[in-house]
Amino acid sequence: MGKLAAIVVILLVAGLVPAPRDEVQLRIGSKKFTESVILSEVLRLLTEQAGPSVTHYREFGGTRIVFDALAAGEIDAYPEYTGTILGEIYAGKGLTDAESMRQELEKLGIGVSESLGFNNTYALALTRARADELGVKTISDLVRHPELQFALTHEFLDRADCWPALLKAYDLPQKKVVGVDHDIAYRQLISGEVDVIDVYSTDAVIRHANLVLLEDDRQVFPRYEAVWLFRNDTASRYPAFRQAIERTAGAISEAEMQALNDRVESRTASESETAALFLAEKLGVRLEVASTSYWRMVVRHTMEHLDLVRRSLLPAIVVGVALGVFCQRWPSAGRGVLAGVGLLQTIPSLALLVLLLPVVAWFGYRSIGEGSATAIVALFCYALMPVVRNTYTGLEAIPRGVVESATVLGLRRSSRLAEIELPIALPTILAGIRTAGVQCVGFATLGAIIGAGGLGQPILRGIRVSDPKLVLAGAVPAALLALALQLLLDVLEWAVVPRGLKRRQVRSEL
Amino acid sequence: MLELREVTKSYAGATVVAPLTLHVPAGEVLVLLGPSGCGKTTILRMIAGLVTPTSGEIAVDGLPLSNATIGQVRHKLGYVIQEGGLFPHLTARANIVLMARYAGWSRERMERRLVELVEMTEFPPDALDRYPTELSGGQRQRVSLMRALFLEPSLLLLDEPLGALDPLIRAGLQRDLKTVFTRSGATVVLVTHDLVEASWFADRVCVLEAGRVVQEGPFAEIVERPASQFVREFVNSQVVAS
Repeated sequence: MGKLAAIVVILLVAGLVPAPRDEVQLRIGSKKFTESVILSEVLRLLTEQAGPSVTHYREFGGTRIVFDALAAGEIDAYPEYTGTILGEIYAGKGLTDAESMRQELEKLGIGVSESLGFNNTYALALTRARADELGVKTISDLVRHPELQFALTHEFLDRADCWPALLKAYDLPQKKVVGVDHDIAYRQLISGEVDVIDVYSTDAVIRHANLVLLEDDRQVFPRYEAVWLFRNDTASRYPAFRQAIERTAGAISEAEMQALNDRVESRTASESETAALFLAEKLGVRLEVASTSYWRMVVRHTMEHLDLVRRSLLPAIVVGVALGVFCQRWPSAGRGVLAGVGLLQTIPSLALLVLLLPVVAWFGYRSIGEGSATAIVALFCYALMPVVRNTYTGLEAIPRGVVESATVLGLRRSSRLAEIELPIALPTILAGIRTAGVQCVGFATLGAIIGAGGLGQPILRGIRVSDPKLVLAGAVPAALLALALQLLLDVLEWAVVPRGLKRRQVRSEL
Repeated sequence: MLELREVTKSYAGATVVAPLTLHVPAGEVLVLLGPSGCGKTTILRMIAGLVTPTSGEIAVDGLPLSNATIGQVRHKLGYVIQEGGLFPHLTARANIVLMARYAGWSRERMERRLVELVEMTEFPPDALDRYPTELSGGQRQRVSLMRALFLEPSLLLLDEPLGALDPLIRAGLQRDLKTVFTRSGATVVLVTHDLVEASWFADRVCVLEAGRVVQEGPFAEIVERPASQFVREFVNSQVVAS
């Protein structure tokens, strides 16, 4: 009994103690695309050179997640686009002008900065050669060339404020319009198969392939001015932060943003280096960016990953075994528990993470970022099922005669559990822990989606900038960790499971 | 020593044990004999406190069996079942001394008692550190017996203790069991369907049919003067078979 209590205490302490973390004053977030990450790096570097320490939660989600994090005060700022605020965050509210948007955000304690200087909206693009040949500069000019072949993305064709609006406003005569994927449209444009495609106005490819954007001379496309959304309370507490926001106002043109995006996506420089270069050239702020080596990065993410696994798996073992015991002892209530735990595991992992975000935030825990409670709770939920089920199965499989013998010998329930039942079920329980552990290492890569760090981070970034080396930097250590964990548990099993419970020996009849 | 007064057991309205009154004096070996399903095992399990009687009273050494007294009563009991019920994760030795450890016995005292029992049950001492899976069926039953006897119980309950054994081993253990019964001086209630075992062990036999005692007395009387058609057929079927 004492031994069991000791194991429980050790597991809980080892599982619940948070890793030491640097004290951070400011937190900036970014959405999961290159431009957002670069802009947040700019703000981070600019703020830090004036004093306060800043953490950047990179690429931890889409609009909803990042905006909610800002509203909940989990981050202090992130870059957003006016069109997204009006059309997505406040969709259906019928806000149209900047002032009503400002007032609406004010209610949440969120401020909006001046435009950073560029409008990242939809645009029509041609190769420079073709544009010069035809002599087109504006969308209106297209009316003179009905023979032009268009390749447009499906989203562009479908959105009411894009193609349908263009057709109407400019009365475009082109008949040859096909719907394709962006990558294919781009390749067809370069090879000369098509003449016009749609792009985002700050796409890296514009600069990369020397494309020309046609001016939206009738202003049909919605405005997507880049702005900072920031917490007003933080801005008044840290003047350096407010000044940094103000200094970036109007600082970046569309062409400059294209160039910055291109630097990162062509893998010429990291987001931090790119941001530093911009600061030096444009604002005259010179600073050193510590470039972390590849291996350092791998080690750091591996440690973060281990931390996620540790803090979810160890408590899941304690709770899982306890629930398994409960299910076996009180079968009618236990059926409900088993069903509930099973149900948890059927929730798609992405959905579970997003569903948990507000719950975790409501309880006052940090829902995003490194070591976020959301990721840990989600991993805990997934790890629970194999442990509960195997504990239950292991206990159920003990022959009735063995349990009854222990009872008639006079062992009390608690002693019987600690001394007889759990030790006999141990091989099955360990098998459950092994399953839970291996799954946990795999699932933990998803933590990166909400900025929880870990080996999912390089995978996500690798996918974004299509860099297989980065994807491998996450995938390979994750696979190795799973293997190592399995090996560790095999050794543990070999060490703690007595001979009598191992493979049946050949009996010598006497 | 053991008293059962008007004890009954029924499951969902079906009677498994009809009102049963039994008095077993100290030192007697009582055999509950009958075909499977006659209720003999249920009676034993009620005495062990594993099954609660539907009505009636059971007393061991004058102590009436109840939730409050069950712990005390179990100190007086030894219990051996067909497959031994040994703890597979413990060695034979650890199985045997488990309860003495809880009772706070000293190492020397445990060792003395172990030597005594090993000798009494004719168990090979070098097999004490083996796990149950590494023992033969007969050895496992001897370990189970030692475990049951270790704290010197006054009442020994055995449920088909020879049931799962090969004939040769069975004969050997049957012989040794009798010695153990005599030497331990415990009161014994043994459940079996086997006439030979009943004749070998019993001071007194209770023949059961469908939860009811149909004949009670010394073994010879059962064979020579069966009280009913059922008892006659039950006896004859085994005599003819052997």
